[in-house]
Amino acid sequence: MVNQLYITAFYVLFALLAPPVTLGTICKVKARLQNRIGAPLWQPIFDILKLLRKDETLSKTASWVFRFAAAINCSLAIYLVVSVPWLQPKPEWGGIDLFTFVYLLAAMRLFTLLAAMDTGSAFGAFAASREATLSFLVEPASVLSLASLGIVSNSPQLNIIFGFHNMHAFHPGLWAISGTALLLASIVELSRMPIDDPTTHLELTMVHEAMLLEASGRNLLLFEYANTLKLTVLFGLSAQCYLHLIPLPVDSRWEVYAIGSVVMLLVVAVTVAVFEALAVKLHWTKAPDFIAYAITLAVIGSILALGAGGI
Amino acid sequence: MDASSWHLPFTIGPYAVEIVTDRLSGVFLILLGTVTSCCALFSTDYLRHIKDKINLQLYWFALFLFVGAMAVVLSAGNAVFFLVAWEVMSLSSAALVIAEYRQHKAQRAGMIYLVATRIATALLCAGFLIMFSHSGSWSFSAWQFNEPSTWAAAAFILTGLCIKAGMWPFHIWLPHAHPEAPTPVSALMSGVMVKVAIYAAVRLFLNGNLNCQPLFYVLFVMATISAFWGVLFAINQRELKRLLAYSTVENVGLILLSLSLCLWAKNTNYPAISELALTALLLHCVGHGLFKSLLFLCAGSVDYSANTLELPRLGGLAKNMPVTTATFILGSAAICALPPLNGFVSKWYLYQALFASSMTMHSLVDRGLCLAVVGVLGCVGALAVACFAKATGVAFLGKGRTRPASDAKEVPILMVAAQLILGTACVGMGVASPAVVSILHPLLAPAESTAPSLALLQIVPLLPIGIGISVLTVLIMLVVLAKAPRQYKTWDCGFGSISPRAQVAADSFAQPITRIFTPVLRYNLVIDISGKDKRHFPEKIHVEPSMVSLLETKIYGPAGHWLDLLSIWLARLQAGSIHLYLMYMCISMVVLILLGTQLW
Repeated sequence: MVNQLYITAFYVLFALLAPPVTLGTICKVKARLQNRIGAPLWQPIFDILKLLRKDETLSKTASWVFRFAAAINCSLAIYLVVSVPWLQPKPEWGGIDLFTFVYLLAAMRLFTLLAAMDTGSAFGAFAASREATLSFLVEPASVLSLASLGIVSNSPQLNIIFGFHNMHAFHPGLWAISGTALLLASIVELSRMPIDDPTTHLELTMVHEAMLLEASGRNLLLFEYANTLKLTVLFGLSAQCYLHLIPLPVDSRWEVYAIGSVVMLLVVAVTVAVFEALAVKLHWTKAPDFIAYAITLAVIGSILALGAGGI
Repeated sequence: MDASSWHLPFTIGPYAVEIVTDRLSGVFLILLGTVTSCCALFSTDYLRHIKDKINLQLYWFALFLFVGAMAVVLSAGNAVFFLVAWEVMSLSSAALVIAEYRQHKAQRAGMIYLVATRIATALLCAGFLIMFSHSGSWSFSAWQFNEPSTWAAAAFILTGLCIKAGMWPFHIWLPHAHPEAPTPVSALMSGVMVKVAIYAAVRLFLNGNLNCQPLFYVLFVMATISAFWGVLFAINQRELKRLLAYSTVENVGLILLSLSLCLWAKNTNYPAISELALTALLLHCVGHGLFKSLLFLCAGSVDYSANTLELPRLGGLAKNMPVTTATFILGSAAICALPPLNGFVSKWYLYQALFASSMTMHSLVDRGLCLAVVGVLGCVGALAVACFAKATGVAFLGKGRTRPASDAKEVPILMVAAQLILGTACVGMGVASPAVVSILHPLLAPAESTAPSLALLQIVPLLPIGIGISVLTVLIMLVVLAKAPRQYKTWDCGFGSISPRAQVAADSFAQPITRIFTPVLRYNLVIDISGKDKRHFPEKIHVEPSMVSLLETKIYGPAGHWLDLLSIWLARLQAGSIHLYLMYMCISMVVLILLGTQLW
């Protein structure tokens, strides 16, 4: 009972702290690699506080959809964080399965697209068009990589897939391939380098940032916070895939998994940062080529899973 | 089963008129009743809008026949009665499609629809005749499709039903007929009529134990293509009702996918998978009936207020028509299968069935096929989100692109009420999905099985999702977004106010996706920039996108052309001479007598 309490406390604490710290880590590592000092690790927390204090400006063209979309987007993201085993330990009430996960993300996408089109700005709407294109290209990769892991775990429930119950079915090859497919798919889904550079300010090519061009103050905070949560959840799932490469004993204490997950999340964040520092942004018409890698890896993972995880 | 049947006191020829209702027809009858009531609520005000264009007496008469015939098709107990009702349903709906008969577009749509229904009925007749000669009975309950000699009949009937349901490649009548009909009829056709065909397929093949495995594979693959094809064309449409019609093609694909998986799993002895797939099928039939008619009614409201359904002429309706916008967004969310709405429940069961197949089925090829379809469905789902984001964004959000769109008013209370009822049903069926599934349960589990039912064991927790998300959203709106924002104009790069025409257009939103599928859509963009210094100061810019539907131009077009030539050639037989006609009759009598004596 006391143990349960600890686990829940850890879970909630991490749900609060991990998103800004993960984002901060990526920014910091990137800055160091570019010979800059960079902002402190907890800069995202300062940003949240700053946006909370700022006044909000709203376009006269915007309807009720705009602010509603921000609110529902953020609540969907919060719901996602508490129901996904995005870091061990997992949600105790059962969590959700991989299809619900994918469609909750789709719900976030629909409302972001609507908000982007609501202000009548062509920048936002074209960014929405780009986001829709990227997401439909990458969707098979995210669904198939999760489904292939589900097949070897014999369940579509995320809690069971990432539950370390079935370390006896130890398929490091599959976990590595599907995990990488998921990571690449997440990079596209979050429109980070090399699909889009979140640090530039060119509205004509940006995806996520251009959609939020008209959001300001607390409204912007909600969108940005939701995106940070989404980033942590997606990278967290990839991190857990890589954690399955290490043959941890099945009945370890939960602290072992918790620490392992934290370390692995940071490792993934640093890897993404290094990759972003090295990669150049792809031309828009080349984006499908990059996505093809994710899909190919996911298909290979599915074939391995169907062959009962041969390696 | 808890079927009840009545023999009516009159007959069609020598055959008794038999009405059979059981739980299966009950499910579809409830759907018919719900959608019809909402359409009735909607109609009174809506018809005032189009009363100059259509003949109201004819309209009401045909509509009454149409709805009545659908109810009879759903409860017909034998094939003869079924066919009569089926014909009344087809012909009355054709009359409704050409309600605006002065319009050339309506005439064309009516013609295409009539041809499609004729072919469908011919195939059904052929299949029914074969089955009658095989089993010696017209009663559906006596028909069994478990012998290879009945497979031809099954293929005929299935093709006929698929034409009516609008599966690829027989879907081409659907995007013509559905948009042309008056809106309440579009809602009934898309929401209920295509499901009637599905009902017949379930009734005949599931209860008749069809076991033709190759047919299941063909249906499985065609249904998947149908889903993808439908949504791909939907996103490229410029007219709201045509977009919705193509999205029906997608959803029919999903339903038929569940049907083929259900029959396939039953045949190869995986009762649990079959049950999951049947749950998906029934829930999607009802669910799609509700949200598609909701979306059609919203489109009707747009037509009522803004006088057009062309997306390039709409925009900015959200401010003046907040309720219609809200219900359209709700319908879009449901059709995109977003939790916690009813569209998600059925899609979730379909995913579960496919996932379970790819885990447990015996053959590796079958498992691979099912897993591949999971990937394709993911893609279809994302495209549906893009498609409905486009429809909502261009029609309802932003600034009005024309004067009527900017001046639109919210529709009368009864029309709003019809939309609200359907919207509530979509939410209710989603969050109360365990209750809905348990109502369907006696239908799903085979009577002889005692094993615990899989469908009841796995229920997606939509109630907590629904409550959790709505509470959080309200909290955020009240706490974080409490302060009223300062109003300002949309950023215009300092160039002065933006014209509504500078907003994204329906075509340009879909353009990146269209471009990727250039070979399938035959997409072509002609850009003509002219002027003396055309690089820096062009005087005239002309952009014209064009898209050719491969199926219509390469297959159906030439087929229609050859049919025309053939009928012109055959018209020579009709020379207008009574002597010639008497000779024809004599010759055909002789040939028939000869054939009869040879055959028997």
